[in-house]
Amino acid sequence: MRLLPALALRNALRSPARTGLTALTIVLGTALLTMSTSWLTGVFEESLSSAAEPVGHVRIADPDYARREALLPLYENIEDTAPILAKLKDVPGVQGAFPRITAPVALSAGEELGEVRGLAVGAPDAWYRERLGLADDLVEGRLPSGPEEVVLGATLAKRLDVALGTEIVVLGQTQDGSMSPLKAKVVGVASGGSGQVDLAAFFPLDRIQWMTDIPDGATEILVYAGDRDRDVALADRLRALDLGEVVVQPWSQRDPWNALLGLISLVRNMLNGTIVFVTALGVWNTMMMSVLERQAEIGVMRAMGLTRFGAVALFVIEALCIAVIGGVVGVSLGAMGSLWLETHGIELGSRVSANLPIAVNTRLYADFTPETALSAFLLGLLMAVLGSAVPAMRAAAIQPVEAIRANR
Amino acid sequence: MSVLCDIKDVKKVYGSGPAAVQALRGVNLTIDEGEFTVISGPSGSGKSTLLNLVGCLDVCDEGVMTLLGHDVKKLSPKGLAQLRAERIGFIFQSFNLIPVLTARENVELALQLAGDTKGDRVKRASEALDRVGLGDYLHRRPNQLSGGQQQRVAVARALVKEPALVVADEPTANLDSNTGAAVLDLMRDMNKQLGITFLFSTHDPLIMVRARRILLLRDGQIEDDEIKTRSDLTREVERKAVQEMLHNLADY
Ligand SMILES: Nc1ncnc2c1ncn2[C@@H]1O[C@H](COP(=O)(O)OP(=O)(O)O)[C@@H](O)[C@H]1O
Ligand SMILES: [Mg+2]
Repeated sequence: MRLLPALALRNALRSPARTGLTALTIVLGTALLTMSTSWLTGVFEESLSSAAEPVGHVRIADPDYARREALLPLYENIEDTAPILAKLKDVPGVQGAFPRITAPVALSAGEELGEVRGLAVGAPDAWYRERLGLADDLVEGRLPSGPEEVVLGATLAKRLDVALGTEIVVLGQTQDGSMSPLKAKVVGVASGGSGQVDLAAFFPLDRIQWMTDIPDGATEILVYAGDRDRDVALADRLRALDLGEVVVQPWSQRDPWNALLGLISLVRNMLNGTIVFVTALGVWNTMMMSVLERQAEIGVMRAMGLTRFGAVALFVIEALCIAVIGGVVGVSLGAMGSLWLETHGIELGSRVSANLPIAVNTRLYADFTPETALSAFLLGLLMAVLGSAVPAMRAAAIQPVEAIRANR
Repeated sequence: MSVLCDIKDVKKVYGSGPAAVQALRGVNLTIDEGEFTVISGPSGSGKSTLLNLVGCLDVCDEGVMTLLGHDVKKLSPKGLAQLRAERIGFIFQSFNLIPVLTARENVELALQLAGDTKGDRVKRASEALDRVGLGDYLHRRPNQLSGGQQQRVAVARALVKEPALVVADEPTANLDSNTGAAVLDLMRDMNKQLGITFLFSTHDPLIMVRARRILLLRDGQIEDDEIKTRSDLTREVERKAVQEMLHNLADY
C-alpha cells in the first residue's frame, strides 16, 4: 500500500489549526518529559552517588555480618582480607577494593569519662580520599597521617567540645567483647551534611584493626566499579570467583537503597505516565474530531476494500507524523530548558535538604543526557499511538452503509 | 445472457420493536449481465436499501440473494468484503472522493484497496480518467473540479478495476439536470463499451428515461418492472432529439 502513508501524511496537513493543536500538545508533553527527567536525573544522580560511594558499589562481607549488620557484630569478620583483595585485582571492571571496619565507640576528651557515642571507622587513606571525599569535607585540619591521629565528624567534635590538636580517648571493644581503649590526636574536623560523616571518627585502618583485634582482617570489603550502575554486573562476576564464606552484595540491592531506588523509579514512572496520559488525552481529542469529520470517506474506502487494520493504520500514522514534528520541537525546547537548569540550578533551601534522608545539595541542578532526549522523543511517539488508538479503532468500526447514509 | 444477481423474497427491517421499519417487504428480482437498470420510486421506498444489498454493503434479514455465483448469506464478512472490493464498483450521491488525493490518485486508490496488482496502476488510472474525458485533469484535487467532473472521477474510480457490477445510489442527485444527464450518458457508454452491469437509483424522470429497464419501488416492494422495447427506445431517442432542439433554441 503505497498511497496509504501518503494519504496519512496529507491528512495530517489537511486541517492546519487542528494539527497544530495536536502538535502543540505533543510539544508540551515531550518538553515537560525532557525537563522533568533531566531534573530528576540531576537531583538523584548526585545524591545517589553520594549515597553509593561511602558503602561501596559492591560489598563483600561475612554472611552473618550482612544479616545482623545493624548490630555491627565485629566477630563476624573476614579474618584475612589479603587473599580476597589479591583475587579482586585481576577482575575486569574493578576500579578499587578497600577493607573497612566500623565499630561503635564511646569518646571522651580530657578527664571526663566518655559520654559521647559515635562510630569509629578504620579504612585505607585512599578510600578516605577517593571514595568518601573526606578531604573535601574537611572544615579544618587535615587527614590522619600517623597511627595516633583522627579526623572527627563535626557533630562529634562539637559534642566533645574539642579543637584541633586535642587528645581524645576512644573506648571500643575487641571482636571478643573485651574493652579496648585507644588514644588519638584530633588533626581534622569534617562535615558532610549527613550523619555518615558528622557522627564518625576516622582512623587509619591498622589502628582500628588493632583496637578490634582483627589484625589482618576487616568486617567489610568495599569494591568499586567504574560506574555505580554496573554494580549488579560486577557482583555477578565476583560471585563467580571462589572468595570463600562471604556474601557479595551490589549496592542497589541492599537496604535501604533498594527501597529508595524503587521509590525513585516509581516517582519517575508515575510522573512520566501522567505526562504521557494527559498528552495522549489531548491527541485523542483532536484525532477523534478528525475521525468523526471523515466518516464518509472512511466509509467509502471501507466499501472499496480498506481493511480494519488499514483504517487503524491511517490514523495512527497520521498521529505519528504529527508526533515526529512535535517531538523534535518539544525535545529541543526541553533540552534548552534542561541545559539552563543544568548551569543555573534551582535553590531548594537548606530547610528542605536537612529533612531528606540522604545528602542533597541545597541547589539542585538538572542533568541533561542524550538518553533523556531519546526517551522523551520515543514517549512522544507513544503518546501519539495511545492517543490515536481509540479514534483509529472507532474509524475501523465505521460501517460503509451508515457513513454514506449520514453524509447525505 | 447469464444471470448476475438473483434475489428471492428478500426482506430487510431496520431497528426492532415498535420502532422497526420494514424497508423491503419481499423483493424478487433477477438482473442479467450487461444490464443498465434504474431503480426508481419515491423517497423512503427502499431504493438505497436494495442497492446496498446488491452491493454487498449490507445483508438481508430474510430471503435468498445470489450474486456472481455466490450465495451472499453464506459468505463471511471477510469474503463479502473481498467480493465487494474486487467485483463491485460504487458511485455515490455526494461523489465522496478523497479530498487530499488528486483525481488520478483517487482512481489509483481503488486499485490499491482492491488489491489489484495487474499492470501499471498509475497508467491504468490515467487511462480510466481519459475514458471519462478527464485526461487533462489528472492532477487536480476534488475541490478544483466541478461537481460533474468530480462525479466523472467517481465513475472512473468505480470502473478502473473492471468490476462485474457498478452500483450507483442517486448518482445525479447533486448535479444539475444537464450535468446529470451527461454523467448518465457516460455511464451508459461504459456499459455498452465494457459490458459492465449498472444498477442505479434516481427519482429524476429525465434520468430514468436513459435506462433500459426501470424498476419501480413503492413501500419496499417492486410495483413495476418495465423493460423497454426497441420502439420505446426509438420514441425516446426522438423525444431526446426534440428536447435538445428546444434546448438549443432556448440558448439561441
Ligand atoms: N439505518 C436505518 N435505520 C432506520 N431506518 C432506516 C435506515 N435506513 C433506511 N431506513 C428506513 O428505511 C426506509 C427505506 O429507506 P431507503 O432505502 O433509504 O429509501 P430510499 O433510498 O428509497 O429513499 C425508509 O423508511 C428509511 O427511513
Ligand atoms: Mg436513498
